[in-house]
Amino acid sequence: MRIVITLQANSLARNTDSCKPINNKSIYCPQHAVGIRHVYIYPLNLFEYILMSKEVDRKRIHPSYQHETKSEENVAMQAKRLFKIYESAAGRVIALRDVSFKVNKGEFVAIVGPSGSGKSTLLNMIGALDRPTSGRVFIGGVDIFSLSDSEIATIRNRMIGFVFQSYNLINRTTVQRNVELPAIIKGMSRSNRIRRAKKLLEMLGIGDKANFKPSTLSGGQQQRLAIARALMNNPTIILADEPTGNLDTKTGKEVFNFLRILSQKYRRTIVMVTHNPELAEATDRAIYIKDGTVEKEVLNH
Amino acid sequence: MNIQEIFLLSFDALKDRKVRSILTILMVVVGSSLMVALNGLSAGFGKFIDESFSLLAPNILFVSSAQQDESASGPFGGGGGPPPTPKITLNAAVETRIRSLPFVSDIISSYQGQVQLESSGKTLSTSVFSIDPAKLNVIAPTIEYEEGSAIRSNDPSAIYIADQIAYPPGENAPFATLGQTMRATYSFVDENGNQQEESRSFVVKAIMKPTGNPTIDNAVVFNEDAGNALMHKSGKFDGFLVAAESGEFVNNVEEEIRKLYGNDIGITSPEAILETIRQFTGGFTVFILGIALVALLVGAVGIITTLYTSVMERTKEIGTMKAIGAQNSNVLSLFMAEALMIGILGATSGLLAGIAGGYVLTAGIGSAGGPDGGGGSNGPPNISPVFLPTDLATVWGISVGLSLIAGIYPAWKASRLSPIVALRRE
Repeated sequence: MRIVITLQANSLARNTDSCKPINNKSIYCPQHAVGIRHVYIYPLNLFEYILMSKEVDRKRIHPSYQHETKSEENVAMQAKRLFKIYESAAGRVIALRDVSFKVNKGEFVAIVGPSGSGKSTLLNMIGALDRPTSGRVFIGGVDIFSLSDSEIATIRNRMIGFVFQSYNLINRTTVQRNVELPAIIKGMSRSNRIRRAKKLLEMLGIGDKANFKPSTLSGGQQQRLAIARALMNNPTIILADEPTGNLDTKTGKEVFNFLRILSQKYRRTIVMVTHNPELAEATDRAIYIKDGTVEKEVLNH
Repeated sequence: MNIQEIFLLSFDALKDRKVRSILTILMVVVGSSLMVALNGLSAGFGKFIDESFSLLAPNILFVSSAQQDESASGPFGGGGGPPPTPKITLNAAVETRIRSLPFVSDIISSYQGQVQLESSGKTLSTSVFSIDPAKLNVIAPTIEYEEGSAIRSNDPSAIYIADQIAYPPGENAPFATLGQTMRATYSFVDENGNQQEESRSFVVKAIMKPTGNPTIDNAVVFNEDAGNALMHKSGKFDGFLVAAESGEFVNNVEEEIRKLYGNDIGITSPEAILETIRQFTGGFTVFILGIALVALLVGAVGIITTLYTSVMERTKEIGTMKAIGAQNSNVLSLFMAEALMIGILGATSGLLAGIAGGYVLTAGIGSAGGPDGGGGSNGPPNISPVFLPTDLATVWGISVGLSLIAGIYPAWKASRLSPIVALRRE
C-alpha cells in the first residue's frame, strides 16, 4: 500500500504519540506531529517502519492488517456493505441495499443502471459527498467516513477527481484558473500550480485555450477542461458522472477515448457512471446496479 | 486557500454581476455619504455658531423680566404661547440696585419693539433696540460705523440703522442714507382695546457695519427717551444688558442678581445661549445621523439580498467547489470577502461623495439665504462643512462593519450547502 503523500521519512521524527490508527491500513497524525503542512494520512506500513523502535500501542492496530495488505495492495477504492436509507413523511426509501465492490488501481470501471437505480446515490457515497446510512468506503486504504466533514473535504480535494455531466465549470474565470482551482484549495504554490495546469491543458489538447472563458469552448472541450481539473491534484481515483451525457455521439466518443487513454496509458483509476451500455462495454469492467443493489458485474476484454 | 486567492475569486464573482454589485455598492455609498455629508454639515454649522458668538462680548448678561423656568428661553422671552405675567418690573430702581452689585461694571437698559419704518416712499418693518447708543460698543465690541456717522447719547431724534436695513440685500437703491429723515410708526393696542399708532421722525445719524451680533445687525437703534416715548413703555424696560468686569465674573454677577430676585428675573449669558443652540444642533445632528444610519441599514439589507440571491444562483457552483474539496470555511470566506469588498468600495466612495455632498449642501444653504434678506448682512452666511478624520474613520468603520455583518447570514448559508447539489441534474 502506497504512500498517499510522498514525504521524507526523517520529517516524521517528531512527536508521533498523538498519531492514531484510523483503520487497519492508515494512521492519522495531527498536523503538529509532523513537520509538514497538509499531511494527515499515511499508510500504516510506512509508519510502522518508522516507528519500529518506538513505543507504539500495537493493540490498536488491527491484527488482520498483515494478511490483508497483500491482497488489498492493488485496491484503489472499496465499497463495503453500503446502505442508504431515506426516511421521509412519504415513507422509507432504500436507495442502496448492501452494495459492495472493489476498484483496482488503474482499472476503468463503469457503473451502469437506469435512472432511479441508485447509481447516483452510490456515486455520492464513493465520491465522499454524502454519508451512507451504514457501510464503509475506502479510498487509498482510508476509511473516509470515519473522518470528520472537514477531513472528508480534504479527501475529496486530494484523492478524488470529479468529472460532472454538466461540466460544472466556473464560467466567469479563465480556463486556466478553472484547472488551478483544486490546487488553489489545496494551497499549492502559484508557480507549481500554473505549470501543472498548463501541462494538463496541453495533454488534453486545449493548451491554446488557457486564457479563454470556459463558455466560449465547445461541449467536448469543456468536458476535457473538467477532466484536466479533476487531474490537477493527482487524485487516487477519478469519478465521472455521465461524462458524455451532454455531448453528441461523436464528441462523447472523443471524451470517452480521453478517459480510456488516461486509464491505459497513464494508469489512472476511473469510475464512470453511465446509462449507455455501449460505453460500459468499452471499459474494463461494468457493474450493473438495479433497485439499489448490484445486479451483475461484467468483465470486458 | 490563501487570502489573496479568496479575494481574487470573490472579486471575479463581483465583476461577473457588475450591475448588481454596483447597485449594492451604491446603497452603501448612499448611507455612508449621507452620514459623512450631514456630519460634516452639522460640525461646520457648530463651528459657524461658535465663531458668530465669539464676536459677542463674553462679559455681557441679558436680564429680562421673564421668569426663569427649566426651558431655557432666549434673552428676550421664548416663543410660543402667551408669556406669563412678569413678577418683576424692570425699572430705574432695579437698574440702580443691579448697578451697585459687586463685579458689575455697567448696566445698559433697553426697550425693544417692532416698528414700521418709512423712508422715501418705501416702508420696512424692523425691530428696535432702544439703548444709549454710546453703549453699543459694550454689547458689540467690534462695532464699526460707516464714515460720516455720529453717535450722540442725548439726541432723541437720532436713529442708527444697521447696514442690512440701509442697503437691503438684492436691491439696488439704498433704503436710507446718512443724514436723511425717516419716520417710525409703532402700532399697539391701548387699555380700551383700540388699535393705536404712534409716530416719530428721526434723522439717520449712523449706519452700523455688520457685527455678527444678530440683535444689532437686523435692527435700528435710537436712544431710550425716544424708545420710551414712541413705544409707550412708561419707564418699564424690556431688558438690561449687564456688563461684568470681565468674562470670568459673569457667573458671580448672575449669582448676585439671583440673590436679589431669585427666579422672578430672567438671566441669560451668551454662553448659555450658545449652549442652548449647541444642544439644539446636537439633537438635530443625532436625528439627522439617525436617518443616515437608517439609510446605511437599508444598504446592509441590500447586501444581504444581493449576496443571498447570489448564493441561491450559485448553489451549483458552491456544490462544485465543495465537491472538489473546498472547506466550509473556504466558502464562508469567499462570501465574506465579497461583503467586505462591497463594504470597502461603498464606504470609501461614500466618504468621497459625502465630502463633496457636504460642500454642495452648504453652498445650497448659502444661496438660499440670498434675496429675501434672511441671511447675514454680508451675503450668505459663510458656513463650510467640517470633516474630522476621526468622524470619517468612524463612518467608514460603521459602513464596513455593517457590510460584514450583512454578509454573515448569506455566507453562512452558502457554507452549509451540501456538495451533493453539484451532482444534481438541472
